[in-house]
Amino acid sequence: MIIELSHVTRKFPTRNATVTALSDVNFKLEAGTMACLSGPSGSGKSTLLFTLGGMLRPDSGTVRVLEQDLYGLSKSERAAFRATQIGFVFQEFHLIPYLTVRENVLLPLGQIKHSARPNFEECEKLLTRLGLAHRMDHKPRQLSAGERQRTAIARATLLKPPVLLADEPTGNLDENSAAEVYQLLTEYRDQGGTVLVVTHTRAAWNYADQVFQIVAGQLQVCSEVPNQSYSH
Amino acid sequence: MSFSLRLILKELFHRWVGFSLSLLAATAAVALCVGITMMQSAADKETRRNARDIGSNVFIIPASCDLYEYHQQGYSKDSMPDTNIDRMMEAGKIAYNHLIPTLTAEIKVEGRLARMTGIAMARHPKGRPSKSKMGVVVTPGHVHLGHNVAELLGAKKGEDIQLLNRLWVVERVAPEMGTVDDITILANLEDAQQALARRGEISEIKAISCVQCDTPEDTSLGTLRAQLKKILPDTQVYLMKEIADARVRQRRMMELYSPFVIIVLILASAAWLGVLAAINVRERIGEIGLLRALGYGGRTIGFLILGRAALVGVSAALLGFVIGTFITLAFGPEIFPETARAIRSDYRILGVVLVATPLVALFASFIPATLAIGHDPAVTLRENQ
Ligand SMILES: Nc1ncnc2c1ncn2[C@@H]1O[C@H](COP(=O)(O)OP(=O)(O)O)[C@@H](O)[C@H]1O
Ligand SMILES: [Mg+2]
Repeated sequence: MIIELSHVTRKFPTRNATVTALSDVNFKLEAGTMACLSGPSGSGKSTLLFTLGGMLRPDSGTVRVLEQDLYGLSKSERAAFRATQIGFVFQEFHLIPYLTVRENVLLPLGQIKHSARPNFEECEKLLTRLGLAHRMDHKPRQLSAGERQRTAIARATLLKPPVLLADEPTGNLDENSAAEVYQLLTEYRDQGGTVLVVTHTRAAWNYADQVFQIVAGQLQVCSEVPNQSYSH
Repeated sequence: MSFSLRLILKELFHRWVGFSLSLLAATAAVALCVGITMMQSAADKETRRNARDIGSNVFIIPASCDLYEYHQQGYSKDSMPDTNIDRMMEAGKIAYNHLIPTLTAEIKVEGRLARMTGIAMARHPKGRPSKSKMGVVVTPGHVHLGHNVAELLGAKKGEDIQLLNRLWVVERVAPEMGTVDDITILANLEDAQQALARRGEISEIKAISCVQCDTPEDTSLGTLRAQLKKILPDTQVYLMKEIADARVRQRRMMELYSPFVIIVLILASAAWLGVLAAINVRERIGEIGLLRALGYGGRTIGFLILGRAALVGVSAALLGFVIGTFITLAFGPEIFPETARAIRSDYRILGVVLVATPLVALFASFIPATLAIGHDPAVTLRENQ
């Protein structure tokens, strides 16, 4: 199992009440799968994603990624682990506005050892494959939303992390761009990556090997991949 | 780190408004501090110079001289030996800067009572030679005539005059001063001693006491008196208080206010830099969260924020030094004519400013940097909140 959560609970105390974002969640994912995590807004999808991405410590339970107990690591060990083993894609792209597409994509290199760095040619090949060859020296504000998300995917996959996490990656995209994004994510899965996509739209289900649903912090597994009729 | 440095530079250019506002404020503060420091050291030098120009601020007269008579006359009628000067110099311990021996007496000129003063070149303490020629120097065989006495004699510069049974060349005719100088004939001390038949005698020694002592009443004059008592038992020493006091007051004021102004400037610009840094961090919360997701550590995040502050500091130091120096050199002499000549650019100030400004900027950005490092990326990166 590349990802393994057992009995993970995460609560957020607020002024009036305590929100239970994750309630005794057990979750496993095999390497080389593309999984979808659906659920209504506020159900705990992002909380789950950040928890297994090593950015949100659960109140209880264990999180294992690549056989590594994530929260048994120190903060800096966890950051180093994240740098090479986990890629993130967000709804808001989070591209750095003052860097070009190329510089944004190369950003993960800032935190890893020189010997482990891919060369710049590889970065350009990746951008070409994602249809951004002509955009390499442009700033994010010059790009369309779809191009921005493809840049973010290039950044997340530059170091070929075994795990790729995407939080509503198509939330700000039109249908065509969204389809492109899902196409790229399945390609990454086909190259051996494990992909977990958070979404509250059913369009993504078509691309997934496995679909999970979360409602009010409780995880439910849809045993079968829903067929075409569920989409739209 | 060069990677992070590139990131800092690109960010500075991108958010140039915030950068300019920080730079502007810090540069203005540095320029003001540089200007104030330059003006202060100019005033410092100038008070020293003024003290010399105004004249002596200690006078030594024979013990036999009656103080009442001295003030009524304006000079001492009694004499002391001119070897007193040599004894003072040989003692070597006395707290003075320059010694000027004079011999003054009344003389009859065309039926009127004028005054002759013989004056010698200023003498300096051993091992402390003066850089500049001090006081009036009269060439032997020559005289300097006061305005009225020159009129009385009908003498002009370069002419010969007959006085006290000998011939003198008029070296200079002074303009009207409105003081006793107008009826005074200045001669070389030795000439005056000879002409007045008072060889080896002087009536007064004027001394410029140590300008470093800021309480002349207690230390300088006290020490001088005590030391003189041992060396020259037959003298009395007085301080011309007003000159000394005015000088001390001026220096005290500068010393009191300029550090205060500089501290206020530093605090105000630090507060401004801190606020701007906090705004910058707020704007970059998403960016910082993303870097965290990519595995960037707290040290790198801190470096990005503090490195930015240090760059602002260094740029402001360089710009502020150049602008402050330029403005002070250009407008300082007009605003402070008394100290105009002493205003100089000073590279030691650049050194201080180059170290101090980045330190202030770093200090001001410390809290924003801590906030940036402590920020929870899961909060910023979570969508639809
Ligand atoms: N940092 C937080 N502070 C307080 N409440 C939070 C925080 N993060 C998440 N929550 C709450 O936890 C629940 C789940 O949030 P989230 O995982 O973002 O939902 P989703 O991504 O499914 O929309 C929500 O009710 C949300 O308000
Ligand atoms: Mg969410």
